[in-house]
Amino acid sequence: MNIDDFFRKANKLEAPEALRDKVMEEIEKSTPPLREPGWIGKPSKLVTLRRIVAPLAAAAVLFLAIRLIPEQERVEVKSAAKNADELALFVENALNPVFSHDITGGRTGDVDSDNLDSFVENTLESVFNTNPGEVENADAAGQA
Amino acid sequence: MSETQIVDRARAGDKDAFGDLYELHKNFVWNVAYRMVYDFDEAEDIAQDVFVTAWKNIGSFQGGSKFSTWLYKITVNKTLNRLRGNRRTRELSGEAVYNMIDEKEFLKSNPGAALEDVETERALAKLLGELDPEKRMAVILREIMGLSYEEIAKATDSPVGTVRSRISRGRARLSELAEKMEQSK
Repeated sequence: MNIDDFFRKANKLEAPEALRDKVMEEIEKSTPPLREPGWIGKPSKLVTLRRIVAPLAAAAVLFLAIRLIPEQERVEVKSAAKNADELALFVENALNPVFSHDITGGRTGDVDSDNLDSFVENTLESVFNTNPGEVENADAAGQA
Repeated sequence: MSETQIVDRARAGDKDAFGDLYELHKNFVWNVAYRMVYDFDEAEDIAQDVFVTAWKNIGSFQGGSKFSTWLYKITVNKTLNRLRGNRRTRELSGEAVYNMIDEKEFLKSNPGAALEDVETERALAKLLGELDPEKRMAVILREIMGLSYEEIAKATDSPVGTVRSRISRGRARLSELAEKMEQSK
């Protein structure tokens, strides 16, 4: 059987009956949607600028965070990413929490500053927690 | 009543109208969610999340595009976000996905299906499980759900060229795997 046969034979599956009850139950609990006035027009220059600068800032933070990871762990990350797709997925997943998401769940391109703060904090914390010696060395070097 | 009229009523807070929209689109959402994760509970959670999100935000749906396009986009984003957050599901190998399809459960939820359909679905699951999420999504939307390249581009927020490339590469990989599967029989 070739792949087109698989597609041809694939059934259109029926959604389970119980799903409707679950969905409608949640909807009953929630408040009715509010009509929002239509929003027409271009985003402001500030918004446009944020959309350009924010991903670059996030990428820079990620780059710096990666540089802080010891060489050995970086090599592991590289070897884990067997091909470009996996590497892209790795970066995508690493950056995903930093961004704001729109109502469809899609990324808006804007960085949520709270998310960015916690991302940087968590990333740096995980780096230093796993390498206390490096922190001590850095402190000692700084004091010297 | 046209879908536009139903959407208008739902936007005004009519839950019955939203129930009608659910009936119109439930199978699309279910097919995509289930075939992306091949796990009934996980797929139910995703589908529920999609419809509840749509209900909560339908007031901001502008009507500039079709309701289905908007809902497809929510479905794609919710499913891919769920996969990103769930390493176990994302990294399922084809073999593991194959074993996850429970025959009884499948036949119970698809009364028209025969035993042969379960085997076809298991083989398809095994093949699809070998693709990365983005390619798997594009292939499912095109080859199983029958969306056009343009519709997939809108739903996945990707250029049409990227969609074509994902589908073409995904199909090539699946053909190769299907051939191997056939030879090993």
